[in-house]
Formats: sequence, C-alpha cells, structure tokens
Amino acid sequence: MDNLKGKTVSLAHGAGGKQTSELIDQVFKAHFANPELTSDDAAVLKMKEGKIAFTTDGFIVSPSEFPGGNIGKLSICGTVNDLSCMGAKPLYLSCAFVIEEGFPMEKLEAIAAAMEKTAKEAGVKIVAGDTKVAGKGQVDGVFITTTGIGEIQEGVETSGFMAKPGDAVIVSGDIGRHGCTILLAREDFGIDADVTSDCAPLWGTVQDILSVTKDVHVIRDATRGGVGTVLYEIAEQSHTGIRLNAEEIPVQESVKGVCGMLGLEPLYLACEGRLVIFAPKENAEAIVAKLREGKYSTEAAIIGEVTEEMPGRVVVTTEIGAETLLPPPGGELLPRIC
Amino acid sequence: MRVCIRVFGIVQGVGFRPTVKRHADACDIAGSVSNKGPYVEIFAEGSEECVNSFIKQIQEEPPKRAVILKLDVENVESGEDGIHKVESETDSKEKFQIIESEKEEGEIFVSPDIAICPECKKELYDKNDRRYLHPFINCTCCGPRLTILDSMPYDRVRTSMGEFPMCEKCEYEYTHAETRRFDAQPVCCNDCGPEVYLLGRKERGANAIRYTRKVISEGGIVAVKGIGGFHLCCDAAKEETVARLRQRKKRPMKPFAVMMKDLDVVRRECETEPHLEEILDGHQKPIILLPKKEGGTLCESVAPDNPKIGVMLPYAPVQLLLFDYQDETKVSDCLVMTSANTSGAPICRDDEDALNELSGLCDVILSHDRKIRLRADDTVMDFYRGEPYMIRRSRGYAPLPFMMGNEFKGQVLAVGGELKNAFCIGKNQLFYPSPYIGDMGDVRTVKALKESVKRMEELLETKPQIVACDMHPSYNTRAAAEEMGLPVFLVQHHYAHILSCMAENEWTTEKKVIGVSFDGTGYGTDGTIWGGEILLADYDSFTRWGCIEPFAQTGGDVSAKEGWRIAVSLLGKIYGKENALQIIETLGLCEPKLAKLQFTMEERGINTVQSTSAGRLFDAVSAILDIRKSSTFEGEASTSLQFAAEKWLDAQKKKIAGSEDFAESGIITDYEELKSISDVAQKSVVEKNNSINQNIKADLYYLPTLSLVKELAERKLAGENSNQLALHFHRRLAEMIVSACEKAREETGINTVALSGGVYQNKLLLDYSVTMLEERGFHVLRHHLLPPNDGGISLGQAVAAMRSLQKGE
Ligand SMILES: [Fe+3]
Ligand SMILES: [Mg+2]
Ligand SMILES: [Zn+2]
Ligand SMILES: [Zn+2]
Repeated sequence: MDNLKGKTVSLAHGAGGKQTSELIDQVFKAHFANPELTSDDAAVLKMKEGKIAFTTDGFIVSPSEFPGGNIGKLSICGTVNDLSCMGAKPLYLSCAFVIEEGFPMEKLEAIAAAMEKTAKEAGVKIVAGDTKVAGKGQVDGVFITTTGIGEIQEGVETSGFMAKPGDAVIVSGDIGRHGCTILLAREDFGIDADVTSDCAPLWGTVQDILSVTKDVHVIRDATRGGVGTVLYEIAEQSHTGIRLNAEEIPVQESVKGVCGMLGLEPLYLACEGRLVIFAPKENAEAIVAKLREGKYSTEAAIIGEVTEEMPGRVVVTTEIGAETLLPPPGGELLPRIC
Repeated sequence: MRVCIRVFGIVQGVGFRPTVKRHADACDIAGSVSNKGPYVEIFAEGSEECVNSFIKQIQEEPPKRAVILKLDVENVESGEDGIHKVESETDSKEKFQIIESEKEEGEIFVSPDIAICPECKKELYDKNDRRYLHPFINCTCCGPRLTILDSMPYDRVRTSMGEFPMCEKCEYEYTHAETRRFDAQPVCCNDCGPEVYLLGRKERGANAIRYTRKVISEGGIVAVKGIGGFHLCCDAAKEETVARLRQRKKRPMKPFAVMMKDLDVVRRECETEPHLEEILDGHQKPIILLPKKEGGTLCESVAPDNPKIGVMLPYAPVQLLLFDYQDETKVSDCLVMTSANTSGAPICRDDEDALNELSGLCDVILSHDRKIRLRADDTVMDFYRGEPYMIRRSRGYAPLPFMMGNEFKGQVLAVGGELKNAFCIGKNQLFYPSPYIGDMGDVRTVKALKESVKRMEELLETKPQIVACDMHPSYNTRAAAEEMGLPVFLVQHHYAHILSCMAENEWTTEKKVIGVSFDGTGYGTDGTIWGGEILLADYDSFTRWGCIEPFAQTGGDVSAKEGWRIAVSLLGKIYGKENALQIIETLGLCEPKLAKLQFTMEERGINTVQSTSAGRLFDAVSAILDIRKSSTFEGEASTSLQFAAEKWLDAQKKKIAGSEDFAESGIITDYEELKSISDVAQKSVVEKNNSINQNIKADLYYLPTLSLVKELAERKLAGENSNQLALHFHRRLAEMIVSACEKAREETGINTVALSGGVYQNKLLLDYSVTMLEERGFHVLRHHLLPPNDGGISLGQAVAAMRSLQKGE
C-alpha cells in the first residue's frame, strides 16, 4: 500500500474521527476482513454446543520486528496457542492496539499483514478490534492485546494438575529460539548467531497429537519463562517430580553457543511456538513420531518423565551423569561453586 | 575401698573393657566394667593402694586406639548398686566382671573406622591361621566402626554384624578376655560372618577374589566394596586402562588416588619422609599427597600435569588380598583407587547403587554382604611444617569431636556448605563433624546428607534445637535446612570459615581475631559474592574489615570454570574496555568478540555479579600467565598456578642448594626479602554503599589486587617467565594480606590472625602468610585436622548457632 509510505501514526488517528476510520480501513480492515467483522459495537457469533475455551493475552516486545516474525504474528500465535493447549479449536479473536504516536504506518501495516497470514493459517477469524494512540513515550512502539474463543474438542481434557508419575515429558521442538533471538536483537552483543524465533501457531500441532491419542494429560505452550518455568508450574500443580535427561533436550547449536557464552540456561529462554506435552509413556513414541512429520515440530523429543520422587522439583540428569536440581525459575543466577 | 570410675572419650570399640579387666586382675581388684554409651563405668573394690595403682594403669596404659578425655572417680558406699548387683546376678567365679551394655544418655564418642592392624595382617597371610586370607579379619584394635554402627553403645547387635551368628571358635574369642578378639564386635572368620562375591556372576569367596585379581591384571577396571563404600580400581601403571577409566568416568584431568602395596612401593614411587610414613601406615591410613619421584611406574593419566600423587596403603583386608593372594595372578603393586560413583553422586555403598551406577564403568564388581550403614570416603591429607594439614576429613577421623569450652550448651545441627559438604552436630561442648558427604549440586548427594544427618543424630542421641546453614539463597543445603522444621540460623560463608579455624584451635570466646578468609565464592551480607575477605571476628559476630578489589563476575557458575572470563573482566577494569581488547588478544585469553561480549554482559548486568572471590583471582592470573585458561575440575587453574610457582622455586632452590636460607620452612628461599615489605594495604572507600547490613563498614580496606594483576599482565607481555610470575603473585598477595593484618592490628589492637578458606589449601600462600605474620609478631591460627576448604565450615556454623542459643536469639 503505497499511500502509507513515510506516514506515521498521529494522535488524531486515535481520536475516533475520520482519521481513525481511515486507519482502520486502510490498515486493519484491509487485512482482517471477514463476514463477522462488522462495524457494530460487538461481533455476533454462532457457537456449537459444548465447552468453549476463552483467553486473553497482551503483547509487548522490543524490538517489534525480529528474525522470524513480528509482534503481530506473536499476538496471534500467543492466543491461538493458549486455546490450542486446552484442546480447543481456535475460532475467533479480538485485538486491541495501543500505538505510540509517530509509529511508522508501514510497520503497522506489516504487523497487520502478519496477523492476517497467521490467523489464516491457524483457521481463526479476527472479529472485533480496537485502536488507541498514546502520546510519544507513553508506550514503546505498539502493544497488542488479543482475546480468543475456541471450542474444546470432544473427549479432550488437559490441565496442569493432571501430570502423573509414569508420564513422559515431550517438547514439540528445539527450545529457546525466541528468547535467544530477542536477546540478540535487543542487546548489541556483537554475536552473529543464526537464530530465528520459533514463533508459530500450534493448533495443527495439537491436532497431530490428538490424532494419535486423546489420552494426553497436559499440553502447555512454553512462552515467557521458557520450558523450565512450565515444568516447575506443572510439577507444583500436579505434586509430582520431573526428571529430565539433558542429552535429549533439543537445542539448536547456535542457541547452545549463545547460552554457553552468556552462561544462560536454554530451559529458561522464551519460546513462542513450542508445546510441552505430558502423556502416558506408552503413547509417547507414537506422539513424537507423528509430531516429527509436522511443520513446526520436526525436532520433537521425549525429554524426561514424571516421577513420584521430589514433588514440585525438576531434576536434570546431565551429560556426565550428575543429577542436578534445575534452579527454580526467577532466582538470580549467582555462582555457587566455591 | 570402693570407687566408681567413669571414663569419657573414645572408649568404645577399642577394647577398653578387656584392658580394664586385665589391669583389674593385675591389681587384684574386684568389681565390674560396663559400656554406658557415653562412657565406660567401672566399679572397683580393693585396698586403697590397689585401687590407686589400678586407676593409674587405666590412665597410663589405655588400649592403643582409645582416647581418654576425662576420668571421674567417686567413692561409693559398700553394698551400693554396682558391685553387689554384679556378684549376685552372675554365677561366674571371676572376681572382675565385664557386663553387657546398658544405655544411658550423655556425651557420646563414636569411634571412627580403624585400618587393619599389623597382627591381623600377619594372621591374614599365615597359612596355619584359621583366618588365613579371610577378607574380613579384624580384632579388638582394628576393623570397621562408624560405618557399621546402628546405634550406641557399640555392641555387635547394634552393628551390621548383628545378622551374622558367630561360629563356636569366634564366640569363644569374643567372650574371653585373654584373646585378641575379646569384645571385638565385627569378629568373624572363614567359617562364619560375611562373604565376598561378584555382582552378576556366580563366583563367591576365594573365586571372587581370584577373578577380580585376574581382571585387574589383564588391564580391566573393577569395583571393590571396602569399608566406607565402593572404589573403582585398576592397574595404575597401565596408561591405556587408566585412560579408559577417565573416559568412562567422564573425568579428564582430576587426579586419581593410588593405593600402594606397602611402604617400600611408596618409597619407590614418591618422595616421602618418616613423619609422613608414620601417618600413611598408621591406624587411620588416609590418602596423603606426596611428590612423584622421577622414574616411577605410575602412568601419566593417574594425575596428569600434577607433580603430586594421592597415596594410601591398604586398610581393609580385602584390599590387601587384591595385591597378594594365593593364586597364579600377578597384580600391580600400585592400584588406582578412586571413590566409585557416577559424577556428582555420593560414593556407592550397597549392591543396588553399585549395579545401577557402576555397571557401565567397570568390568566386574566385587561386593560383600556386610552392610555399610554410613558412607565414609577416604580422608585426604597434606602436610605443612611436619604436621597434618587436612584436605578432606572422613574415614578414620570422622566423627571424632572437637571440644570447646563448657560455656557452650545446647544441641545444634549445621548442614555445611555446598561443595565438599560435611555437616556437624554440636552437643554442648562437643562438636562432631561428619564424614565427607559430597557436592550438593547433585540431588542424590542431598539425599545422602539428609540420611546421614538422621543416622548421626540417632548415634549421638541429639535433638537439635536449631539448624545452621549458609546464607546463599540457592544452596541446596540451605533448602535442606529450611525443610527441617527447626529454627534456621544463617551464617555468612567466610565468617563460618574463620569460626571453624577458631574452634579447631580452641580459641577463647571473649577475644577477637583478624580473620583472613580466602576462598572461592560465598554469598555476602550485601548480596554480592565475597571470597578474599579480611574480617574482624569473635564467636558472636563479625565485621568485614577489608577485601580484595571487586570485579564483575559474569556467566554464573560458568565463571568458576572459565578463568579467562575473570581475566577479561579484570583487564577491562584496569585498562578500560577499549585498551584491554588489545592486551586480551595478545595474551591469547579469548577472541575480541568474546571479550566484547563479556563487557556487554557486564554493562547490561546480564548474568553478572560483583565479586571479591579470591579463588577467581587465582583462576584469572592462571589464565593471564597462560597456565590454565579454564578448569575441568574445581581448583584446576589455581592449583596449576601454585605448581608453576613451586616449580620456579624448586629451580631456585637447586641453584642455591646448600644455602641455609630456606632451612626453616622448606619453602621460602628469599626469606630476608620478605622481612622488608612495605605497607601495601591502601585505604579507599567502597564504591557503592548498598549495604543491607550494618555489619558492613561504609569504608572497606581494599587489597590492591588490580595493580598486581596489571603488573603481572605487563610482565607477561614483556616476555617474563610464567612460573616466576606465578611465584611473584603468591608472594605479593601474601604481602598484601600481611600488610592488611598489620593495618588492622594498628587500628584494633588485635594480634591474632586466623587463616582459613579453600585458597589456604595452597601451601605456598599459606607458608608465605604464616611466615611473614609470625615474623611480624602475630599469633597465627591455622587449620590442622579440619579442612580449610568448605569441608570445614560446618564446625564454624555449628559454633555460631550454639552461641546464638546462649544469647537467647
Ligand atoms: Fe568456602
Ligand atoms: Mg496467556
Ligand atoms: Zn587387628
Ligand atoms: Zn567364626
């Protein structure tokens, strides 16, 4: 859209008048158009009978564009993945934008385009939205909040409370790429590592899992705190221990390299397109085999198991056979070696 | 005259009662002797003269392994309990009776395990003896103790020997005072008691030993169950075998200990001295660090790049049998003998552990069915000025107590540090440090700690009122302490080091010391990492008086392995980041890209902490001098730096051989020069007064370590010899420490200096420090039988916790 070139978002774009409708028409409607997205005060949706899943998420990311995606793609993936993890087919999303005055129109358009593309892929429709413009410095670029509704598939029940001793712990792909990408984009480390974000919509991936078995205890997407945080949450909620085998945890070489240099733990790097799955051991191999055929889960692997021992704790068997406690999330990484 | 005598000390499991009976019979005394758990109780009746000479004999001729700490004598009226009861209840005609144990509460002395004695060794190889080649031979003055004990008092039924009925002959020896095995709880023979066998193979007894010997002789690796756990064992002369063991254990560089057949072999392989041999071959048989001799048979992989070797002699009969047995096999007289475990786990002690953990590491496992109740790794000892200088205090030494003044009252548990962990139980004036537990980074070791604490509490009949631990928020020991449901008392790491040194030296409660606590990393009261600290301390509190100059430590635990990171950080601080890059590159520390990365992490505070770690300073200097850029095991870079310095010193010594300059200490050659050091401690103000603790002074003294690093880097760049610079570093650092102590003395009037912390395992720094301090009139407290490293801090923690009880905190 050539007419957006060089233009920036102004406060008037958020005042609700003519300029606002222009912005919506040119940028958002152009990308999000669908029968349910009307000019009425609210979208009117038809739902099947049964349970629905409903969730919301706000997205702030700096920089708003990064290798492998932008905040638009992220905002769709985040909510779609939250729904998917509940075994719910994502149907409808709303999205609210808070845009900083002076934000380039072209960038905004790129964000909307990414949202369109990702929503299409995930089979979800954007049916409601809101746009606000905040004064310079009041927000950093653009913030997006998405809210989503999905319908829960028959016979699927997953929850962080349901992990059981004997479950296998599976990740749907190599971990930590999003966090690593953002870290490298944000800090000028002078490392040129070939890392792109793992940001991806995962309803297809969840369907793959459910096509193997519906007997899946937990599916959770590892986001902000990485896989490590998810594991601690589940260990706590289910009152079980988790034992990981470090050798089995898929981490891209470049991510490993960056972590090695910075002394960081890949398990605590954010992901935006990775599922952690807890399922009875006997189905684990089949799930992984199926996942490896999928677009976003070629590196799927069984990384550990649920144990009765040490409830609430995550223990890692290292490459040299030591059994170390994965430091609980949020702690400072202070050296302990004397 | 009738008296009741109570003897406190190591009086159980050392043949105390039979000795008392022998003395009683000789002095014509009637009465009885019994084990009361905490003490041995004797009722004695006879003429005053007889009773007096009886008491004198007990004091002057106790059994070999006994330690009498206290002997009380009390007159008792005729007809009162003891004597009468014994006479009426037994129908023996013996005038002096040994009676069965009763239990009583009180101070308890648990005996450590005792190495096989010369008499038993002789019998072991005497074809006509009924214990010929018996793998469990022991007697009243040797054999396992702590490791087989269930509860006190020490009697067969309360040990893991309880499940083995004695044969008639053993029973006789066990019950008759004239034999060498009277009252020897683990007594057994070829006809009774436990048996050796191979795991997963059918061979038992003699065949099991023969098979094991064959595997060793053919270059295999075996696991052998000894006293306190399993060892991995192989021929120490076969490079290919030892290299395979390294590969399997995933342990590339860390030295292995070697068990040598006898003292002759030790003399062939190592430089030794009579006072070392006495301990090497004594009843505790620790591992002693000895210089390798040129032309020895040990292969390089046993202790790569290391001038010393940890040596021990066989202490369990089964170990002797590995060297020498009735078969055709010829086994090497030097065997690698290293604790058997997977990386990080505690030493294996039962068949299940062994099968799980060792099957992949070795070719055969020689086990036996005498259960190990409490693990005990081998003790490791160095020597300084002709006296033991403990590195790891365990088998043979634990749980001998340290005794404090009787103003200490109460019961405490201290869980110790994170690495080289040992815990400590304090019961009134007695403090019992446990055997070595291990590195708490591993959850299995944490479990072992909890188990061992429980067992030791039972053995010592204690119920701690309070549990002491380190302040570090992510120590697993702290988590373990907090789970115990007791009030938790936090003790700062370096203060605990100094307290442990004070306690070991029975320092008085009122007086303060200048504590030089130099070690790796510990959590400071201000949330930064401490390590090279000068504290003013007594048993109640401490002040941080000074420290080495702080630097940024980036990368978390990685920084402890990669000394080059610290070197980069120090050089960045000294020269400014831009200028430092050139120097870093010329020194070959790392690529400029990595150095920049370090600086960025530091700037942005990513995984970065302010640190005054002395251990890291050593690592950094080791990297700058191109000695070791990183370590594969704890202390590799810093010990290599010490070896380099000593190498230079040795060369100097050879040059001036015959001169008397270094006669005193054996190490210092430029003694005169040391007398004339300048006042190098300079006062400056702490940069950020972000103290959360009023114990921290707003102004700290800094040891000018940055200028020392600068000097070393520049001299290295100018092409000076690394070994010489390594020596210079040691000396200069010691000078700074001593000057700081002088300054502190000037300010406070305190004249006693306590030296502790893992860095003081470095005997070169120790010798420089001690020599110069003494030269300047200081009273120096240093470690002897308690490790200066983190293996010793539990004693310090326990003492602090006990003091807090007294203060009613
Ligand atoms: Fe320490
Ligand atoms: Mg969410
Ligand atoms: Zn003996
Ligand atoms: Zn027998």
